[in-house]
Amino acid sequence: MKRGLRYDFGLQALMLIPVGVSLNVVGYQLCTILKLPVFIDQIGTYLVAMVAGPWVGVMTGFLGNVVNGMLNPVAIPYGLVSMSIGLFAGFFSRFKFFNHLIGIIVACGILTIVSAGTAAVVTVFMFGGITGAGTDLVTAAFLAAGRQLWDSVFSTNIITGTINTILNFAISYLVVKRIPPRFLVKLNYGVPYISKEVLKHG
Amino acid sequence: MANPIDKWYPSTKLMIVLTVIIVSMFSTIPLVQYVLFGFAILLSLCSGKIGRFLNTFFKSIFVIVLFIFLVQVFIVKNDDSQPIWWFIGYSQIGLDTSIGLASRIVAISSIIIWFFQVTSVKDIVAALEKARIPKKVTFVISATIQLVPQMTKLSQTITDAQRARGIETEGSVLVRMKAFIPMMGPLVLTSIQQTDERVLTLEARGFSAPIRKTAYYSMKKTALDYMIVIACLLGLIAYFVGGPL
Repeated sequence: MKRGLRYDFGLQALMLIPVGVSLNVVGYQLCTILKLPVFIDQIGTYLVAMVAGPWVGVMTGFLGNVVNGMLNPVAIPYGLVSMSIGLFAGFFSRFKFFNHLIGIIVACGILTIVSAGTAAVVTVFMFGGITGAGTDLVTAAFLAAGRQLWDSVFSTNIITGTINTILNFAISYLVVKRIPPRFLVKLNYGVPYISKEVLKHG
Repeated sequence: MANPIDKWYPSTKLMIVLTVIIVSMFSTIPLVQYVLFGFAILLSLCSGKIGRFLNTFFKSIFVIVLFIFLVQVFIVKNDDSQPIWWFIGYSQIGLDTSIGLASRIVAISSIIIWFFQVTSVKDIVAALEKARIPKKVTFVISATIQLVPQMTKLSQTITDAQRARGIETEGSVLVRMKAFIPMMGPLVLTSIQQTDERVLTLEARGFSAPIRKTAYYSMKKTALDYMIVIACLLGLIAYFVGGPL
């Protein structure tokens, strides 16, 4: 199967983009309903990137933040974070990192650092280190302890980001594992998630 | 009923937004940003959307601006920080930084809020199609906008159904966490089944056919649109020739 920027946007993958974006929105809403202290708002990006590849993942992240930006323009610059998550998760999926435990741990570590880094860049350059959410208190605590602004924002993002990345990834991984094989097989990057027994019979 | 500003072509409005963003990016004095903010308020007043504009503005931007002031002035350590109490200090540099930063955020985000309030998605998609953007792109955009409220509704149904079957949605964090998967799982699987059907429908209706579609909904650029675009360009040229403020 041919993969790459030109081949990834098949009709099936294209239809997944709206689903991914709405999953991000719904995940966030569920978090508020269940009053969870974390942001599970990237499930859709992870899911789409895992089964449909990096470029479709980037599209999903970008569109999701633009849709959010219609109501809250602050979300638009953070599209960079979602896009980097989509890109990296897609490439990890392509090189079969998610098939064994070590790969998953390495991938989660890198994803945390990447998303924390991009989030810190956006936060510092666009908003002077402030996000308007509860995590600002952590940043303020670091600043009060005498750290520099960059250092504080990055540390805050690493702390909160680790939990978010692991949860987002774990939920989307569990969901991907439950997607029926007859659907996964149609997608460019879906085959590694089909269980071996099914493949053997097929 | 329909406001004249709603009838402006989407690219015209986008041109206004881009002009404001570019001017705001290159300006260093806060006064310019205040003028741009006033301009956005004036525009939304003319569009008759001032109530919704202010509502969105206070919900999203105001909080962040307030936080920026608090942190930059009182907590970030600058050279001229004077300690007030424990870790809280006052710094003039911080105040200046936050005024510069906050005024720019306010100016840029208010024009973006205005843009999305006066431009319907239908118009944006129609304009993109007219500009010969591939229909895959336009379709994904319109499908996304339509699907989000649908999925929200579906997730509410699933939440209610799962509650009726006895899934606990209240209690400790762990209990609430566990409730997440049974709510998310059915949602994803249903929506993936739907995408399968959607693909079949689209194929049956010739979505992949390599020809240009004709649209039922049509929009035209008027003389006013061209005038506004030219005015924006002239304004930008004048701004850069006259030296950015």
